[in-house]
Amino acid sequence: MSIRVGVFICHCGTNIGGIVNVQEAVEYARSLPNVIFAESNLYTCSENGLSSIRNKIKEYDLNRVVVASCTPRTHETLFRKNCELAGLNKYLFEFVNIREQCSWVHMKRHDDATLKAEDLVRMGVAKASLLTPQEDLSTDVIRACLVIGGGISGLSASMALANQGYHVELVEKKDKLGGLLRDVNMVFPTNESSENLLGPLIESVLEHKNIDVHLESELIDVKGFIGNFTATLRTDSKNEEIKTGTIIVSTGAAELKPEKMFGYGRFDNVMTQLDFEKKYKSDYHGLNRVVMINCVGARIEERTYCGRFCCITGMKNAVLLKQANPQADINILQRDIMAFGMVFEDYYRNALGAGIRFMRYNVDNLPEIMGSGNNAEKVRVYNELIGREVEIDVDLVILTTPLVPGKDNEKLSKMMRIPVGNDGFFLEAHQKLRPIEFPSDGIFVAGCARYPTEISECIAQGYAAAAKAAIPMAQGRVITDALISEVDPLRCSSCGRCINICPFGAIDWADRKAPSGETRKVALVNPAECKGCGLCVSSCLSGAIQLNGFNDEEILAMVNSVIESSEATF
Amino acid sequence: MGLKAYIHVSNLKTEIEWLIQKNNLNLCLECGKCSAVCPMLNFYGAYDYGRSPRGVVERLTFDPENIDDEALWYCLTCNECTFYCPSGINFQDFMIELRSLLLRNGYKKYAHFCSVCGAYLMPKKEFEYMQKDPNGKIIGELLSICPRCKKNNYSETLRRIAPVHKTLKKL
Amino acid sequence: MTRKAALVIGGGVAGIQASIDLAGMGIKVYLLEKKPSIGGRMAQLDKTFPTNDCSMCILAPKMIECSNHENIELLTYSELDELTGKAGKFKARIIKKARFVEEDKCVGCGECAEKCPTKVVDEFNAGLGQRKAIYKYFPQAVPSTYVIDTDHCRIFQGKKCGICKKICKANAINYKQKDKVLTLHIGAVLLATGFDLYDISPLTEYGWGKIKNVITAMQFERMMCASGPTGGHIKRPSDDREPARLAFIQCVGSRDIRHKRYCSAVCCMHATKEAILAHEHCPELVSKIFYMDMRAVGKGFQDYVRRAKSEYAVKYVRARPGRVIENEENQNPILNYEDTVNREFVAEEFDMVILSQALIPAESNLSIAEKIDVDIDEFGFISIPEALVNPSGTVKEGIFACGFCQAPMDVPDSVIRASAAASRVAEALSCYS
Repeated sequence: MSIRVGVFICHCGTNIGGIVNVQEAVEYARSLPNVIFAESNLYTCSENGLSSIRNKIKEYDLNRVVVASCTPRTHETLFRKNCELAGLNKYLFEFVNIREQCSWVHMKRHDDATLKAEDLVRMGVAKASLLTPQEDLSTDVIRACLVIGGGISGLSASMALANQGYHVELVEKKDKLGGLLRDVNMVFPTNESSENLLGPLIESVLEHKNIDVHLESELIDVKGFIGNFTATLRTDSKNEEIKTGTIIVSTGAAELKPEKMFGYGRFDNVMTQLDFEKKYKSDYHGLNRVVMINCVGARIEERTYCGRFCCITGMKNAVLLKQANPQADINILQRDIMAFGMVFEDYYRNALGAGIRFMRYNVDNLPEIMGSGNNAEKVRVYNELIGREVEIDVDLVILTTPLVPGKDNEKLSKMMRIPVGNDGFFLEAHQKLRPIEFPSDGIFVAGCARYPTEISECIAQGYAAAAKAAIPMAQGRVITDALISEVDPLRCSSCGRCINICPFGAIDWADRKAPSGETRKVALVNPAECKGCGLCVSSCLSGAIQLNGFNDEEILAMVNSVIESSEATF
Repeated sequence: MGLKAYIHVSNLKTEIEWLIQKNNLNLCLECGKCSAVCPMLNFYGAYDYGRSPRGVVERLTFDPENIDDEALWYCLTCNECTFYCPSGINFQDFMIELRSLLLRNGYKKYAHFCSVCGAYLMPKKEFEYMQKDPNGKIIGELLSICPRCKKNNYSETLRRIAPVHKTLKKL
Repeated sequence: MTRKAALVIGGGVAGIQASIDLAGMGIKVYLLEKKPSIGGRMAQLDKTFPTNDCSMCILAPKMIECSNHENIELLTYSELDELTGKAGKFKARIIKKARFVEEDKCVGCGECAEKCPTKVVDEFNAGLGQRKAIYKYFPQAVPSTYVIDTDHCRIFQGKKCGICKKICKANAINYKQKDKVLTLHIGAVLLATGFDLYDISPLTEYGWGKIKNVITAMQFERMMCASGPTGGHIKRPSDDREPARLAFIQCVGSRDIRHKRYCSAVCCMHATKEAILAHEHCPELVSKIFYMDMRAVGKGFQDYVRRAKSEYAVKYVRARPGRVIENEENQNPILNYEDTVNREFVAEEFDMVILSQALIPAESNLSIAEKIDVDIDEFGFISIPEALVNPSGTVKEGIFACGFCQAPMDVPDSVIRASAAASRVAEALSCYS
């Protein structure tokens, strides 16, 4: 059967069209071997562009499609599905990136960019001509979810899923549910006790018929892939295996204890916000001169992020103190007040109205705590906005510190192959549009495990993770990409390199009977776990592994098409 | 029947604190918009933080003792800052009420008074500024007498120079 | 019988995300959008913070997913007329306004717009540039069908024309098209109406509307966008020159008792983003951002601000400028401000001033709230009575809200709230039956 390639080159508005001469590239594409049809679109990803491709596939009986536009990261799925809609196997589609890999990096060299775009299209056509149809795989999804961490986020996620009829296995390392919120005295903005908030929720979780709670349990190992995870728990020195279809990571975070900063550890009356809430609960007797220092250990070189809700926590405690002792002198030393949004800004205004003073200090000129013995007595600070040094007598100094990543994050990261960012918190798939998903399918994150988050947001994230987890469970099955690697057992020398190097643990040993009757072990790729990264392919010394859609023949064809061309200049 | 009699112990500090609360000075976010719209740069030729609305508010909220200060007597109470303040601080009323309070408590040296009856006219600085006008001497004379005294003066003059018409009917 | 169906009102990123999640869970979704295309405010942005991803590029796949998903029915250029019934058994009457262009015939070629003689101020481009009376809301619109603006089209003003009908090769123009009334049976309603831009004309001290080179942040965003009115070139409105010194004034209308008391939550970040992008456009360009508190609270935001300072020639000045006046000779705006950290009064000249205008909840919230019987607060946000424990629930059972329509928030938070609301809707629907 003859190969009939259609080439569609995108202008992408002016992103490509402003630099590359798209019409010239289209003319060039028409001259390439196997190319039956070529056209340009203003925005290939728009409805018009997509329907044009579908129409041309039918009209010209195309059996290979090449789109030269932006990055496959955003639109590959879209274009593949589009080919499918036109009756073409979606893996007979090749994506050529002439934006990030051409127009955007050669913005001032229009002629060269055009030549390069033409080279890239030629390579794409060469590869497309060798593509073969592939089929996706489908695996069943177990209708159960493993929720790791029984804090407010985990509890919310569990209830949301259980109420929809899914089974939940909730694993909590401590002997009680509730997480960090247990240490908080009163919650903002309702000023009710955290017990009021947690009590009913914990009760509902413990009573729910769809939730199995494992207290004092630790996660030892996780194997598997979306739809089919096997987790090993250790409770009371006994191991237990549970099988679920999805996982939600809601392991929370811890409050930073600022050792050696501002007299913490040296003075008894210097403590963090949580220390304060635990020690005094609601009895503020005698606390008449209080200084709070914000941004302790946050927004500094060593830890650049902002704690997000610690400004509000400080204000909450300041207002509670002022309400209990109206004559009290309460000062908050700050470096920007993060009272964003509607409720927080109003609360800030109320705090000011109540007579709490806010003094701005500079990170290069930190306040000093002075005292005798183990009692802090004075705070000296340079008030940046009035340009004067101020000395305040104190009964109590409260340091407002951010949350820091849980100690187990690194361990969990390796166990489930979920990434951890530079700040130590779990890193989501995309910061804007996929904030609670991981790159590995079926695993989601909620709450402070991802980033310091206030209570209502934690609850929202718990629900959101539940929604994401519910999708594959509702559908009952997942479709996995066909572009995965395959081992040719005849060539496999059983060295095991690929098994070690696979970041997803998708390759394992399998028995193979040789014609002689002996069994030997060869590597076998689990198609459901393989992400098609190609590390195994390059690690194989025997050349036994090939990646569908990127096999040696296809890649070499691309290279040859560049070298052999008379346009190539070195 | 318990009608409590409040023995109001007033001292200057609590009075100032009351004025601060009443006029919302507590709500100051120290944004500087007031100082930016204040015409003091035009009037006094130079910007001095201490005389600016923000400067006065900050000094009084952090250090309410220090009130024998010439910087409190530059403000022209023109209302620009109050109009634009995003926190809703009524600085104009505050200044007027504060000066009233200070005068009652004997802090007079920065104020300009009527040469006839001694009533408070305006801050000394404002009077000095007005005199910079080319007709300064005339303005100086006009601004040295309070409106009531001016009126009395005028009636006095009128009585001396204008004859009384015997034909004026009694209404 | 509870219909396992939901009505999502608002086709911005929150509405789109919620629809995709609900559809994925097997629930039928009607996505209602009053504009001719879904996409909302995110479609108007050039790039998004803190990743500097092209906004349309990350949104378009989700928009297309909505239009292709078997469980989602897009009802664009449509409005809610009436909602009756109760949770689990709502009946919604929808008016699908006539585009006067047949949706199944139009291929979006654009020839009609090219030849249309009537020019109209383009609201998608924030008032900069013009569109025609027959138009596509923006280039990557979903659906890509054109629509006739009857307020300006000559035919509907009783004048002679008909050019578009003659030109259209697909024969898609139909001046006689009527509004359609649809009745939907749904179990729950999700509000995702997003935000509008506060009209900052009352803030005369900043000169917007009078001084040519003072523009709003949204106008600047459209200017920088490659598909915008200037083709992605930053040009001063007065003389089309490239500016070298930019000033961004934060909290214009926000955190202001005379206008909007609350903080719009995203302006600190979007000003930083615009300053970074402007520097990328013109390497000689320097920016000053005038702020009160630099609210970079989300993940990666503080690092973004640090990079702006160290790599993109952005200076942050803690001051709320008092006035903007114009230098009559060259039409440069001059800012009067007190640098609160140095306690100096400065009158500084810039080439262009960008005002980060306050963002207000969609003005349509008032009429929608009346129709569906939910409460809105003094600012127009949808009331969430138990915001702490039930972040998606309104005062009425079966009606939920997500995104900016409930409180100021950025894209990641809106997406999270959208998924959270989807979970609540799914839970509610399974409870009602």
